Amino acid sequence: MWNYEKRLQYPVKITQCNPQIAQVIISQFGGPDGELSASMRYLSQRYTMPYKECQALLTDIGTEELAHMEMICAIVYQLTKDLTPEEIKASGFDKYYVDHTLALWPQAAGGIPFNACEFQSKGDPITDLTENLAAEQKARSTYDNILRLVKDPEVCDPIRFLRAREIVHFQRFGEALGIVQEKLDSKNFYAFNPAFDKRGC
Amino acid sequence: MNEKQTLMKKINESSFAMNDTALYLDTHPNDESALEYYQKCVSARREATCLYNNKFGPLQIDQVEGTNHWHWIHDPWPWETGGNC
Repeated sequence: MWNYEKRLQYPVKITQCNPQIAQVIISQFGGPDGELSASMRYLSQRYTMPYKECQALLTDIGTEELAHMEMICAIVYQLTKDLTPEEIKASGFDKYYVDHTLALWPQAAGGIPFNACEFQSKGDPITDLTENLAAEQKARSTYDNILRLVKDPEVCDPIRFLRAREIVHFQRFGEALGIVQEKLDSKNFYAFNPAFDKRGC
Repeated sequence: MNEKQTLMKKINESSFAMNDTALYLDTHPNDESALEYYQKCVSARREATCLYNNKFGPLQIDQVEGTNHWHWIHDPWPWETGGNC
């Protein structure tokens, strides 16, 4: 169950349209390391995660990722609203516009639609948490790439906030992996899968 | 910054502190100083949210008041200019 709160996790107030930058930032909505992937990854993995600390963490980070998705969508929305057909044509936004007008649709910057194959839910705690550590770093790299292209401080500010959250989440997933390993056979972490082979749980 | 913006800033800050501390507590559930800090953030958020609701309307659907109009639908939504952000 989720409750909606009528605010963004961090303010997004962009006054200058920039459809070129919007086409890059949309990757963090529906791209391979985007916030939609992030939320679906953690919220899918949590059901078979055997340890209570890790179940809580997947739920809470998965929930925060939904708020990040909302921030990214607000950024793209504010960067593209009020565009004229001439501006759309001149900026190269026409290829997106023809299918979606100015609506939000989850795709990567290169136009590839959102795809659940971009994340994994494997049902093995070590595998899932290692996937999450990589995912947070991939998202951090994507935000670094965005920050090299964007100069508008009104856009950079919320992007920097999101980048910092990737680093915090990486830290927390590292701690969760440590918690899992403590509960396993210290001579062989891979002796059994605690989410499937019930011995040792 | 007007009163509405000041209250929203307080809500954003206390909510963020709560959220960040909650993630830490998920992996450190017995850290007493973090537990104490979490409770401080909860109180600050509750106080700011209550003041905001009374003056500027609901942020969550169970904060909608009144029996002659559904105030939930009113602008601005968070993604809009002048939204609650």
